[in-house]
Amino acid sequence: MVPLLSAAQLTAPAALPVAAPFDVLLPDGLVRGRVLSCDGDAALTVALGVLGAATHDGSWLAVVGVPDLGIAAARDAGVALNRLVFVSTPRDVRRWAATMATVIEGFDLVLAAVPDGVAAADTRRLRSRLQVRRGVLVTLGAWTDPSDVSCSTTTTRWNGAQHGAGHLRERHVRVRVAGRRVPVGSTHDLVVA
Amino acid sequence: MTSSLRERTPQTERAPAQLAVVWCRNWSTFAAHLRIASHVAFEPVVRVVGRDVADIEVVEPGLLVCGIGGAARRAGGMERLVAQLDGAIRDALHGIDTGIGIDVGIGVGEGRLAAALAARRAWRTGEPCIIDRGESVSVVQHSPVRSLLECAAVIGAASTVDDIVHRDGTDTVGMLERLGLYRWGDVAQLGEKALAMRFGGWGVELYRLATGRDRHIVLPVTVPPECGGRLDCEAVLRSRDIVLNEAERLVDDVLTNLAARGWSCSRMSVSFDADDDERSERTWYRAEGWTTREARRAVAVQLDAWIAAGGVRDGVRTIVVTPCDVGPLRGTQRTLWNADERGGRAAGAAVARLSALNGAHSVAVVHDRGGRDPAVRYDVVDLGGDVRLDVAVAHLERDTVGVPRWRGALPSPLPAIVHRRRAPVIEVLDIDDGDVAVDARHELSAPPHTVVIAGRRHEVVEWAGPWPIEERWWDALRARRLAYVQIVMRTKDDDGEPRVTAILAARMARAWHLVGRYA
Repeated sequence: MVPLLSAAQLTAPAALPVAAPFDVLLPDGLVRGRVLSCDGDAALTVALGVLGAATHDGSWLAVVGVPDLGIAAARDAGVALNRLVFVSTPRDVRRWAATMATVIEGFDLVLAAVPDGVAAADTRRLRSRLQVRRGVLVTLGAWTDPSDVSCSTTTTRWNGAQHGAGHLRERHVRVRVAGRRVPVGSTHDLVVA
Repeated sequence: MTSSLRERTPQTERAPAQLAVVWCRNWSTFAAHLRIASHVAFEPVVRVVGRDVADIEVVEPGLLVCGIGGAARRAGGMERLVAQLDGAIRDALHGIDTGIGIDVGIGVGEGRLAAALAARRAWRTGEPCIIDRGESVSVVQHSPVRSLLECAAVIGAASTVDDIVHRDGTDTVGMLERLGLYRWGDVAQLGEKALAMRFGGWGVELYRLATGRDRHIVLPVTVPPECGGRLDCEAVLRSRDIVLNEAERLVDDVLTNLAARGWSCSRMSVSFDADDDERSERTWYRAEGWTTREARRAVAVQLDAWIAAGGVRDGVRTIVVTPCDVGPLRGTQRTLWNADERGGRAAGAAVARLSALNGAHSVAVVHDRGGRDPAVRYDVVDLGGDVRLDVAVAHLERDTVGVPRWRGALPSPLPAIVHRRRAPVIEVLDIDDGDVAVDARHELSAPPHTVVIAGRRHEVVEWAGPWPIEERWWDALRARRLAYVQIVMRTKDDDGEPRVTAILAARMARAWHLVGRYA
């Protein structure tokens, strides 16, 4: 049986745009069907940074298992708040996979915190679902299957605060990019304002 | 290539098909005179119509709806077919009539409302009434809105009369008439938007009816064969409960398969084949689209009626469930979606499924309360079973990037993690391990030196602030006074590697709280 693809899926561009300064991490943009994992202390900032621009092109973003996401920060990262849906997850890891499968079915963009103990078979199944639906999944934390692209983040410095005067202004983040779809790993120093 | 594919996407809907309504006035009185149950008495009429026409839907005893286009072509013209049906029905009734007489109206039109209006006209004239192709919209628009009540059974499901009359406690027809809208044409002129604003989703359906369409939306898609359900039994099923069980399972499968594609169906054809070539085939209609529970009930009614009529003697061999009139899954059936908001429609369907999977409170959207406090300006509110995703996020459309910030708001960047509900209590200490306080002039009593979070001490590298915020100072009971401080500190990660992390802390009611993390 040939899978039913809608014209929307067939005519959708292969990659979604990424805004500066995060565009250097993904020279091809957010390629549909791929898993991008982020870890380290700036994981969420990088994740929001790479996802933000795509929500302005009509793509909806589901945030799964991150109830404390800073909404004002997401807005500043370019996320269209009227295309943002929060999905809370069941404790049971098996039902987590079912929830994710449903989310991937309906959302172009998914940002998910991956709980411990997800079966490798489930992650493989979710990945193939993602490829069929041509969505993009950005994970926070361990993804048992190797990611297409992984970003390991470290904050090296904060500028702007001067012992009470001023305010936090610039954050220097070092990002190491690797993964199955990255032939040669690279390290980037980003300044996030 | 692309354009032909585009035509198949569910952006438009299929025009209503030509339908026939066969309506016997005062059927229950007639049946009472015969001293038999009204649905049993109606069975001979259903049978004679079934000789010429497929997918018959018995709305209630005395009233049936059937698709008629194909049968008319086979019979060599609509007039000929309708005359043939009229004669056959009168013969069948003549056989059982006890002399009280009965009015039979046969009406043909495009769409359920038009066909029902035609059948009612047939009562008055005594002749079947056929509305020419393309004329149905104008017939509807010249008809009074009061016909909504008279034709309620046909345009909705059998049980929705109360729904139509008293939706949200309002008498729709009375309200339209008070507004001076007596005919469907007047309603159509009001426009979809105005109706939707007054009546919500029901207003959209009113507009559909006024423009000659059915309440339900039919997508121009070909339903893939695997969406249907069929069970061929090796051994005949002899028990009513087993047959019912299997039929219900098929119905569940069909609806789940459709839902996985974001579809539901408003018509559903169910057939049972007995071992001795006896057959029960019925179409069921529900304007709202079938839910599993309603569909199971319909299947049970059909099976029990068949058994009661003595149709099944040797057991059932085949059960077939076919979805017809596939439309968008209810809850996302919103003609108000912006045409290019395909993503929103898919998201709406997923939200409906997630609510079914994990409970109505498992899905939430952003709510903007305004104000300058980053911890409470935005909140998440769960949809609570209301899957009108478009409505829930509508207030946010104006607020995207680039909106000027309130003066005095906390400067960017803002923390990517905000503990909106319960901000954990932490300690912010000076060099002598004394509590750092904020005085009346919004100044810190001493520079922060150490932060204690969950019993772990972290050395402060940098800090900025405080930013005082006084919320609702006009309301003594709900007033909130607090001061934010940004703190950069040195921590160690799980591997013992040194890290620089930043937090947003708030002094509130003489204690420090961890409001957010720059994650």
